[in-house]
Amino acid sequence: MIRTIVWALGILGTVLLLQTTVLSYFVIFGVKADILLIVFVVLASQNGSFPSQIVGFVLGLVIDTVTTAPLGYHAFLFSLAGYLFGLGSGKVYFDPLIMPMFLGFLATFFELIVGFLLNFVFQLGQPLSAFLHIGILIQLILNLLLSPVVFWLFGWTKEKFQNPRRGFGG
Amino acid sequence: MSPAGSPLRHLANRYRRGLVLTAFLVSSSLLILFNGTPGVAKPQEIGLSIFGFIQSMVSGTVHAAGQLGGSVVDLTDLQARYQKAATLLKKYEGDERALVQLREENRRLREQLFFHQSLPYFNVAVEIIGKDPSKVYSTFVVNKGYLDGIRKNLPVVATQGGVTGLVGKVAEVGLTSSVIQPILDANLFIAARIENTRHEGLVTGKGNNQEVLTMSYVKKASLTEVHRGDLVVTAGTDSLYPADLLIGRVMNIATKEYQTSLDIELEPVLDFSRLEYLNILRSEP
Repeated sequence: MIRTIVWALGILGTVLLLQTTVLSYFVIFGVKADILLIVFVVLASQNGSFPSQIVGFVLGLVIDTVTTAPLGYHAFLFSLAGYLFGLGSGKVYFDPLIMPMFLGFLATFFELIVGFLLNFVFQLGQPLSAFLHIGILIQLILNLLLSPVVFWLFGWTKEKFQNPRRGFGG
Repeated sequence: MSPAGSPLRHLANRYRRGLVLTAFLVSSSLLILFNGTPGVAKPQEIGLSIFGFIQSMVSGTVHAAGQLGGSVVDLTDLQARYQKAATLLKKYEGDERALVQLREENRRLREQLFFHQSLPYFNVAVEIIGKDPSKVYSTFVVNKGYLDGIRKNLPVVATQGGVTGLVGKVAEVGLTSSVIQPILDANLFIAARIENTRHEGLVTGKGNNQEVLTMSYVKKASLTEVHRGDLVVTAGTDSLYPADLLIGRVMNIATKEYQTSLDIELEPVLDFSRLEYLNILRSEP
């Protein structure tokens, strides 16, 4: 399990770095796709709840340390997301299109709702307009469209490198 | 294993997932609750120093790769031309191409240098190397930090098309990088005034990447004097920002009968999605 956690953190750290540097310039109507969140959901749905909540907590703390978000904000959000999205691991059939799109949509929606609740409960000072504007709709659509691609990419990579087929006998 | 420890261990194993989740959620909540206290603020500074360094390395590598890619494209182009014309002519064409690029780069750098020198305040020119990954917080990471004399709360400006405007302030300082909190952030409040009527108000963002600002607490009596397109500048009364730095233009004026002040929507003078270089103002050299 430690290996799974380390691998997931390595991948997510790289995606975080790319998202804050290279990918931050790829914007559509002023909005960028949240690839980090999609990759996190993919890994959670592959690895299960327990490792994913640990990965989520550590990743969240890293995000909190490099942004002006209060320390603990993303840690809370990602550890809960890791737990919830990991619950489906091994129990849900992942078709190539509908399920990834549904999870991408759900994750974006989840991030908004939990973010809004944290903001409300801890009085973080963000107005309602921060969670409710047209850019969110565009991002929901972007995440919805990107999810199947990311799911396919990770599924393919896992199949190719983690479970190589071998001959039997001989 | 002691007989008394066994059932406890069994219970802990059974509910391990829930217990760990609860521990994470409780510690996250505690961190949020105690956010801002000295002991909690420190990890953010350390994290920023490390991550900012890695970000600048990645940005540099990507920039170099982009240049390499551009060079390969240029080379292919030159080779295609080489087959059509004489070697000497091709060489000159290649030189001319490089010259145009250098001139363009020179022009941009001159503009930046001119701006850097023309500012009436001591300032440090910085480059944006990263942007905030989250939806709600819209900060930039720049390539200079404590070692370059950057300190928390210093005002940040930029120029675009000859217009110099306020970008925001320094929110966090790492060793070699800093986080800039832009005026689009809902937690940044700036004392401002309408340039021609001199009415004062408080400008803040809407907390996301929407490039719209809100100016509140403007006296209702000014309704007939304020018009769309009027410029809004810093008031200079909060001792953080110098006076008369451009913030935005009046876009929309709203008033309600029961309110004693106006709510004015502003369009920032700067296009935040196109910002590359910024200048951090300092009170001393």
